[in-house]
Order: sequence, then structure tokens, then C-alpha cells
Amino acid sequence: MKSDDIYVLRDLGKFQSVTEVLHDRGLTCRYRILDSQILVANRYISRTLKVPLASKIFYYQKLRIVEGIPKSIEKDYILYDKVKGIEQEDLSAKSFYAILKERFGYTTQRSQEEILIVNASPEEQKLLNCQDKELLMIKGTTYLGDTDPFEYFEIVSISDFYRFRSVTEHDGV
Amino acid sequence: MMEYDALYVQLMNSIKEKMLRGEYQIGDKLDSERVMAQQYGINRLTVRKALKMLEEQGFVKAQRGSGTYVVRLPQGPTQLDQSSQSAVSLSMLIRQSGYRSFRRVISFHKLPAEGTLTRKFPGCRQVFEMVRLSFVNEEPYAVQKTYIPAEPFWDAERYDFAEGSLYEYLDLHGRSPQKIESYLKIAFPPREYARLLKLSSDRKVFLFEYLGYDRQQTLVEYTLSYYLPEYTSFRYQVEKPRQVHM
Repeated sequence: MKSDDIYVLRDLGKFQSVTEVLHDRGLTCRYRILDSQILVANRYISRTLKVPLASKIFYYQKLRIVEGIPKSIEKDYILYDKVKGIEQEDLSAKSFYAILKERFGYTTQRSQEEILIVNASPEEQKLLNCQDKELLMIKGTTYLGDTDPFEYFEIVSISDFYRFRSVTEHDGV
Repeated sequence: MMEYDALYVQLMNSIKEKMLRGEYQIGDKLDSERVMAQQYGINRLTVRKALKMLEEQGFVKAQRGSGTYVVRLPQGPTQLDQSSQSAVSLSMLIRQSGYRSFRRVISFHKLPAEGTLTRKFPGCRQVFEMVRLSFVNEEPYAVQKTYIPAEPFWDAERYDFAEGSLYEYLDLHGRSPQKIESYLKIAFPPREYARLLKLSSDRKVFLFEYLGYDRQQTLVEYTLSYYLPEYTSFRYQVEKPRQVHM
């Protein structure tokens, strides 16, 4: 399969994880964990997750490899109190959301995301095996319910890996 | 007994509704406090409160000595019923401050509907093609190429699309878009648009494809927009449909 054919179409009318979208398209996906640690929330994370400064946060970073080609680098931040023991899980074996559901019973209900184009760092170019100067970035916060944020993530990907579609209808007053 | 929102809330919702409908675009200047107070027959302090709240919510930005400008559009209405999932829209955000903005029409002409345009506008022999260049802080940040069918919008050549909004023009004909389908990806812009945007040939932009359908589900607007990344980002929300319990 050509690299151009490997992409995720995020349909905003559907609530699906990236792994689910790839699976529906019959594309193989695996992960390489780059980092995993318990750290303390800095000001940005504490504001984003609405937790006290210096709260313990579970953080991990992984490389998503689709059809054998590195496509995105994903970072995740969750309040450690909500996922105690997660550091013992093999995060490369299955999707993070599958682990959250199976081990802790969490299912996210909503996600607010922002898409940007950013300059690629040399490290990102090396991990993604590309010479592109620009990459796509998606920053987002997921929620279990209506109010408090559950998880903050940042995805940096090859620029043509994600496409987006939305359909809206007005009441026509 | 019916309950009414406070006046400033009603005004805020009215302004947001205009943004949703495309009557206000990113970079557009809102009417002054004095004009809005007169127009709606309300106290100027009420208008000021509504604008302040909109600014706190990130939709507008007040520029001292200049006015209040739209900087972000609200997301489209979420429609839920028992059978369909939420429909949410991509909302564009201008990333840099200082929002003096204007638009220039680069070209406007009528041409035969051929190739892709025949498929997009079936039964249509001619379309109007309009290319506009948008500026923020005197710098170009977006190019938009728009097609509308020529037959229903026969008087488009007489309308000033640099000052007036396309939505307003379509609404005058009772054909404003009621259903909007949009696509977003990252791409290289056409060479002539890269030049207009003062972009080097190796730089990518946001490519936003917009299809607006009227009440009869007829395509009335097809627009390809190319946005510079240093000025724009896009936001959206995805949500699991809520279970309705009978």
C-alpha cells in the first residue's frame, strides 16, 4: 500500500478513536513506547486538566506505526490518581483507550481538539523518518462527563496522515 | 410563565447566531456600541456587557480606537435525535492578535461549468468564480476561491463581495446554505495562490473545502480556502450521542 493511501479520515459526526478508524479501514497499527513516567503537573497541564499545580500526572509518549510506516508521535497526560497502577500495563500491546476501559472502566464521552501546523523538530523528523519541515499537530482534551477534563493529549503527525470531515445543518429559520 | 434570558445574554446569542450563519466572518468588525444600542433599543451598558462576555469567551477582541472584531466562530449547533449522531463543525481561529482585517476581490468572472464543476453543479451551464484574498494586520492570510451557480444568482456581478458577505448575498435570494459539508486537510497551495500569500514553494497550508446546500439540498456555494498556518488553527468537538431513555 502506498504511503499516501494511509490516512485517517476523522469524521466529526462519529465518536471514534484513531485506532478504531484504522481498524475499520483494515490498516495494521502498532505502537512503540518512547517514554512513560509519573511526573508533576506544570502550570499548563494543571490549568488544562484543572488539577492543582504539582499534582502527580501519568505521562507517556508513543510512536504510532501504521502498515509498518511511522505516522505520528502521541503524548498523553492524565491525573495519576485516576489511573493508579497504569505504569504496570504494557502500553504497546493495545490502544490506550482499550486499557482505560478494561482496567479502570473509563469511557470518554467528548473530546475538544485544535488542529495546527507546526515546524518539525529534528527529533520528530528522525522518529517519523521524514524530511518534512512542517507537521500536523492536534491538541485535545477528553471528558468522561460534562465538566472536568480527564485527559490531555498532543499528536504530531505526518501532515497528510489526518483529514477531517464535518456536516452541519441549520434549522433554517 | 415564560422566562427570558437577561438582555445582554440575548444580545450575545444573537451575535453568535450571526457568526454561525456566516453573517460575521473572522476579521469582521462588529457594529459599534452606540449603533447596536440604537438598533436594539437597549442601554449602551448592556451592549458593553455582552461584548465583554463575548471577548472573555474568545469570540471577539476589542481594539482600542478601532472597534471590536470577530476572532473565532462558535461551533455549529449540535443536533441530536434518536437515530443520528452529533453533527459538529470545524471552527476557524485566528491565532495572532491585532485584528485589523479586510478582504480584497482578486478576480470575479462567469465561466462555463466544466469538468468537476459539472459534477458539483449538475444542470448548471455557467458558474461565477470569485477569488478573494483576506488580510489581517495588512498581511495576507487566506485565499478563497468560490463558485456559485450563475443562473439563480444572475445579479452577482452587481454585488460588492469585498464589503458584503457572500452569505448575505445568498440570503437575499432566499438560498442561504442550510446544510454545510466541509473537509480539512494540509496541502501545498496552487503556485499562483502561494505567490498571493507570499509563501515559499515548500510550505504547506490548511486546505478547507466547503460545500453549502440550500433548503432544497441544492449546492449553492463551493469554496476552496487556503489558510496560512501562522494565522489560523481549527477547533472542533466530537461527542458520543447521548442515550435517550423513554
